[in-house]
Amino acid sequence: MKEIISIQNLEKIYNPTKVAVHALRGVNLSVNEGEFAAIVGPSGSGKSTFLNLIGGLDNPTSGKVIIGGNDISKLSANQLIEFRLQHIGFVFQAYNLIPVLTSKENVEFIMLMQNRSIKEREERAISLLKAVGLEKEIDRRPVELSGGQQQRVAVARALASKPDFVLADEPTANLDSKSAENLLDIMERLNQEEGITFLFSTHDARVVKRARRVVTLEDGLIASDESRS
Amino acid sequence: MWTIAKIAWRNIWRNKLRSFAVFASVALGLWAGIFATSLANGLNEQRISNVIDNQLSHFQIHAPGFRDNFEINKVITNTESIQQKLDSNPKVKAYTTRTMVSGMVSSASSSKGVQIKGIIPENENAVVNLEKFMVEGEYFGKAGRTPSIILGKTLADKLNVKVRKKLILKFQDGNNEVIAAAFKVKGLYKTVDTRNDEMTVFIEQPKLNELLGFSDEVHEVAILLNDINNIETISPDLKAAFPNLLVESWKEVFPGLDTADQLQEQTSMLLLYIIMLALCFGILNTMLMVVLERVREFGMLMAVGMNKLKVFFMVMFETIFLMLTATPVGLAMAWLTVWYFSKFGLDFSGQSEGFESMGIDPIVYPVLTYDYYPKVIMLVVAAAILSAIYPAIRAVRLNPAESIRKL
Ligand SMILES: Nc1ncnc2c1ncn2[C@@H]1O[C@H](COP(=O)(O)OP(=O)(O)OP(=O)(O)O)[C@@H](O)[C@H]1O
Ligand SMILES: [Mg+2]
Repeated sequence: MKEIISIQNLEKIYNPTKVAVHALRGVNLSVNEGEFAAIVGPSGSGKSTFLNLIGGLDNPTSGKVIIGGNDISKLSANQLIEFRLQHIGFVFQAYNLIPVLTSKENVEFIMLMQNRSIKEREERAISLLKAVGLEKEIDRRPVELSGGQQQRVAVARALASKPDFVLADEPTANLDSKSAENLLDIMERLNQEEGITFLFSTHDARVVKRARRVVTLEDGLIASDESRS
Repeated sequence: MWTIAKIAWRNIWRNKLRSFAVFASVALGLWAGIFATSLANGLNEQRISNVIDNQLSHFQIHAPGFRDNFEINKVITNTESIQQKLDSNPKVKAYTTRTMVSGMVSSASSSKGVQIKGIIPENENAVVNLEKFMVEGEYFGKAGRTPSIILGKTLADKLNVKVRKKLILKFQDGNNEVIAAAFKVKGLYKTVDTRNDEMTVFIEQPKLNELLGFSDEVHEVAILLNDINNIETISPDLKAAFPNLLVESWKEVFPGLDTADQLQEQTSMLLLYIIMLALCFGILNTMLMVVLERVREFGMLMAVGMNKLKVFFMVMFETIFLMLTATPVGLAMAWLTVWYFSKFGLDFSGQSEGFESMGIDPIVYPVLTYDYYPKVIMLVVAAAILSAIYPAIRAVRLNPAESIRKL
């Protein structure tokens, strides 16, 4: 199995000058291609901080984030944006989509920024929206979609760029349990059928149950790391 | 970029009320700025053409040095040959000769210092149309034993005289002899320039010349051309035709009027700049609100890989589109109002006292040249860019991780 994420001694201190908050205190983790892993832990344990650092949305205080062999902490701000565009898919808890664009346009937008051809953009957007079960909602704007549907568009959008892996920070937090199950079904199927790597954080026991690996953070440190088959 | 522009365009319609407020302020600001400018232009043109039509004419001829201190002995002598030359010039529509002297006019109750102009009534009419301004009595015509005088209505009121009453004119002739003569008020005139009305009285030239001991000498020849645009071309010819005299166009006689004209143009542009600047601050504020409101959205966009340049342009485009959609409306409103009032005039008679003392007709016809509109559009784009820069920079500076955290 190929390693795609390697985290070494990762530390994050917020507000180092004022009241310092030690959000991560030296975390080590390795994620292989094709994993379906959940980051869990109590509120404030550092899950979001951890995912943000892996996704290159914030800079670590010390330690390394190596993705596909690249140390992303060495990249400039602009290089980092480009790196995210090409290598990482994101699904956030909410506000994933551009409100003025339709589902299809939202999915296409990320490929547009990658300068893909119109034909490829259209075909891929439609097939991805089909894959998340939204062929009928292709021309709807986010306000015309349910929360669960919006999150499924976000998953399609995250996959559109053909990323190395998808990061999702509490993707089901705003969803009712049925929509949450549905989203998980889709993510699971994409993982099993297409081999897409998912790394997501969650509070939800039902979501945790579906993960094949569960990493538990406590107070900025990894308290346990269980894999199951 | 096309998609960025498309998103920016759609973003305008997200908060319709706010966009409408910006839209309305831009349209109204433009309308007000342009209309005010056209009014100012119109006022100015009217003021200038009033002065030209009623006082300056297109050209004036004097003996050299006469205009320095109106010395009575600096006269034009060969009047007849001047008349022949002017009569044969096809570009000259009309001309008139004047003799003038300063003196005092006295009624039974008071006296006033005035400029006494000796004119040929029908010629004066052809050049400055004095008769048109008569408000009481008549314009010369047959005089009785006492010679006629025409004076401004305001002056008559101050002197407390009426038509057919007598006045005494007193002045010095070329030998410093004091001369006094009685005149009968034949009529009263009133031009829009009340200040000038109060200082000028008219009598018939033969009478004044007789009192001054002149034969056919005069002090001034005023010339009206068929077309005011011929001034520059005819000027050298006229100057060459009368080498011993001072031939001047209205611009040379009254240079201040021309400078005032140019100054006016700059001031009216300045007004538009000020309005646009005020709009800029309003729009800057609005766009800042927009950016702050969409922090999460911008954070998300940058998180998923939208680069800073694109984010910058998105805010920029949104501002430019917002202002540019309002521009045609503002321009159309301005164009319509200018068009309407340039046809029918805008009546300021309520405030006419102020207008008349400035030498302006109370009905104003706004004037705007077409080259003004493209300037305005460029100004709007510049203003949009100016007011978008700061909000756009704010958007670019957002930290994606922190923006997304603000859930
Ligand atoms: N920008 C920040 N500035 C200061 N402190 C921060 C910042 N972001 C997070 N923290 C602190 O770091 C710690 C970890 O926060 P983080 O959001 O990573 O936790 P979490 O596990 O995602 O919590 P939750 O389950 O509530 O989402 C917390 O104590 C939090 O208050
Ligand atoms: Mg969190």
